[in-house]
Amino acid sequence: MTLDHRDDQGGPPAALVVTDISKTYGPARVLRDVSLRIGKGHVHSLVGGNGSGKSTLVKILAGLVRADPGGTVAIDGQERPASSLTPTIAKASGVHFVHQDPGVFLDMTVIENLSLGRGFETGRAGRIRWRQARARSEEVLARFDIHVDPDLPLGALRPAERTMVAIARALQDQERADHGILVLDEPTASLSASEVTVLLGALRRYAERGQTTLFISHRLDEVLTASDTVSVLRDGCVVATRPAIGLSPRELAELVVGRELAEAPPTGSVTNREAYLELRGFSVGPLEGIDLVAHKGEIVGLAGLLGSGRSRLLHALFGGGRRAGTVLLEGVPIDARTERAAMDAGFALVPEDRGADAAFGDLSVANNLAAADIGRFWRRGHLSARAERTAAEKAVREFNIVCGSVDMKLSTLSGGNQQKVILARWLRRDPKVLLLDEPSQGVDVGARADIHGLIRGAVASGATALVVSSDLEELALLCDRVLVLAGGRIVGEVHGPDIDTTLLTHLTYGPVEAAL
Amino acid sequence: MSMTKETTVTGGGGAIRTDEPSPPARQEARRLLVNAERFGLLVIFVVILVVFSVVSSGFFTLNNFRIVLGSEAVLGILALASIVPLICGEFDLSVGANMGASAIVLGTCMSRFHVGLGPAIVITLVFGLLVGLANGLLVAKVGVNSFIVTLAMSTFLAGLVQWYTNGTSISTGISQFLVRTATGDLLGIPKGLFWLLPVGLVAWYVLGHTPYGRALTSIGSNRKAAQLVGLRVSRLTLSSFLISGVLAALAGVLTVGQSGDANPQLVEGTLLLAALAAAFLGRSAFRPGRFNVPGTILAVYFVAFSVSGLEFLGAASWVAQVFDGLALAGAVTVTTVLARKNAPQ
Repeated sequence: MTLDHRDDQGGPPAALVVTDISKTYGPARVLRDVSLRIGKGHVHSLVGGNGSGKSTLVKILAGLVRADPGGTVAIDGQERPASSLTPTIAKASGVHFVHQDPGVFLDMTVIENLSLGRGFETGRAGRIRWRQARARSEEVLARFDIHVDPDLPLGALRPAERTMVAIARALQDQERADHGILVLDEPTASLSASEVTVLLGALRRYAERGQTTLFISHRLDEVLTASDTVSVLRDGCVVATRPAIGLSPRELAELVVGRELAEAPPTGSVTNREAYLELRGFSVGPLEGIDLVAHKGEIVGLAGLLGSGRSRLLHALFGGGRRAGTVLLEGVPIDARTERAAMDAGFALVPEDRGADAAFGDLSVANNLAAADIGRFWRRGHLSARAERTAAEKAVREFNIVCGSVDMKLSTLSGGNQQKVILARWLRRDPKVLLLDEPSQGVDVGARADIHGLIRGAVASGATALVVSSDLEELALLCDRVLVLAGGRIVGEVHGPDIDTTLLTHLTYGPVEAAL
Repeated sequence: MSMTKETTVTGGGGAIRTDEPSPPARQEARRLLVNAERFGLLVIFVVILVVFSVVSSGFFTLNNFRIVLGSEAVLGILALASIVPLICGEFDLSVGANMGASAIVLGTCMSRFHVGLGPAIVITLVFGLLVGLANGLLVAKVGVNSFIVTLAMSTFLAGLVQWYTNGTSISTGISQFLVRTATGDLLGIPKGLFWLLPVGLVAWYVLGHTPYGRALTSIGSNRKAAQLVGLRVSRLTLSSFLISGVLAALAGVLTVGQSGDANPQLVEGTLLLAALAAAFLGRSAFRPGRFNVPGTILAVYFVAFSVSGLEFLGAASWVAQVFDGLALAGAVTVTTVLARKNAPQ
């Protein structure tokens, strides 16, 4: 398969050609004259930071957002003005979407999930013809290499297979494998590493049969593994389109950010060896009687599968949930039964799900920054809006948050900047123990480097941090030491210079792979 | 539909973001739009006053203005009662019935048990507080949906009042002092305003300028996040129902003073929709998207003067209800549309 993407040098015919698409939202121009050409049978990746415009581009292709007049979109050679796309037209021309949340129904069977995509065949009196539905489902499953019992509820499938069913559902009515385009919008964002491998393998197989795919992802290593061609969007412009072969993750990351990345690896040298935070016989959820010590100035990573208890551990330390055991901070026992008590003891928690658990989307940036200590701005009998703003403006500068003004609603910021606001909310309190759950999830590489820098800075000034992350590379970059949780215990510990993604992968996923 | 954790995690790349500072001309246009939104209701209000003054001679008289300003104070207090739970994301549909039942409690104290005005008012306010406590405990501590709890409370109170009064008004033994402080005017200002304005001022201060008010706003914005920044969410939610209960009872006291009797019809909650209409209409003014005190009071009088104007033009009394319904639906629609426009997703 040729990797060439340029029109004038042969290569496959184009499945999708996008020419000069722009999009303006009120004052902001989020896309500027974007042009792309995706060859038939190619997996073409689209990468870019938050706010780069890739989501907007996807929404324009889906017909959900109307492009500014002027651009054109040609699907399988049929050209039309980009501003004329509607969801119906997009679907009819063969553009099929599978989103990050694949929109499958976990308590319904595979047959039901597939049939819901196209409607059930019905007999007299509207009866569902189950036999036809089953036959068709089996055929579709075979076509997409999904080897599962169609009567199983979707929840019983492994996560990668659920996404594959979603893909099959979107593509089931294709006449031929090389018709149309599959658009995958961050399908791997919430999958673990082993699931990602399964899914990417399936995508490659579909591509070999002629399936054209537009793949959108934050994880640059997957992008390089899975795709033939990579296009990088930055500030609404396509800044590069390159063959994936010969591109290194670092080069790609620098294209995304638009500058050289200077992320120093952790020093790993913790001078003060006296225990700062100590857990003795701590039990919560699946974790039973674990012992853990963290030192001042140290970033301790927690690796483990979903359900290993890593998030529960953080929440338990922050006053939530039933638990048993002793927590010592600077040698003093802490028994925080509420969030407020934990905060008073010096703990801070940045939860995993920003939208649901941390962000006040309809409140201003200033209000969000002040949320964890509103009382601080109580001046002579009233809440001083001026003091709050001044402090917020200071935080915006200090934490490198990009926003027009601190009065803007938090939801209008990019994901990375929202995350910085949440982090700043806590760092302003000078916490002793930072509990971070997936601190850079869904955040672009530039913001991730910033966030890591902030965490290091906070810890260096005399705190300790516990970091939960599914991104092993992040753990390797950020942590001095990583503990691996499995089966309710700490099963491994990796130190500074030895933290290495491969080893961690082995430690974390090894037992699971063996069981399959 | 159940979703596993794996499929519900949100990535940051999912929405359109506009971080870059906009050019000056666009910023100017945006500021204009924001101001149009903030002061739109006020401008329409003034326009309506002018139009009705021109087309109807009876409307633009000091007397009519006094009547409307004074008599709508009850609704004003009731609307303020309703916004306290609304700010923290909960409905209190029992404010109307609570007000009606409180009026009966006050009337009964004075007429049947010959309690003095002061103690009678205290008993009435405590009654309102207890209604709020029952609502609040069920909503905040048990976790029952506030819509259902307060709707049930509303019906329950209506039933009790019907049983106790048998549908007849209590008009004997009402304190004449109370009537005098609620009707007529002082220094040319209708006395109803002397009830509404202090309540409004305190509510404006507490809800907008104290950490308590900010805490309620945070809960209304994101309950789980509020819990995780250390706010005592259930206690605060409970407190909002207590305040709403006491204010509803206060509205009950004022209505007895203004009408000179305690009318069991009030418990049917006819004022509830008008209060909610004002709360939601008020959300579109001054601080768009947020329930706020000045907006709520403006909305009360916006509706009142519009209805008064229409009545001067010959509309029958049903026009009030039609107007309230339209105002509620219209206000919610406008705020929803504007919110969508401001945050392209």
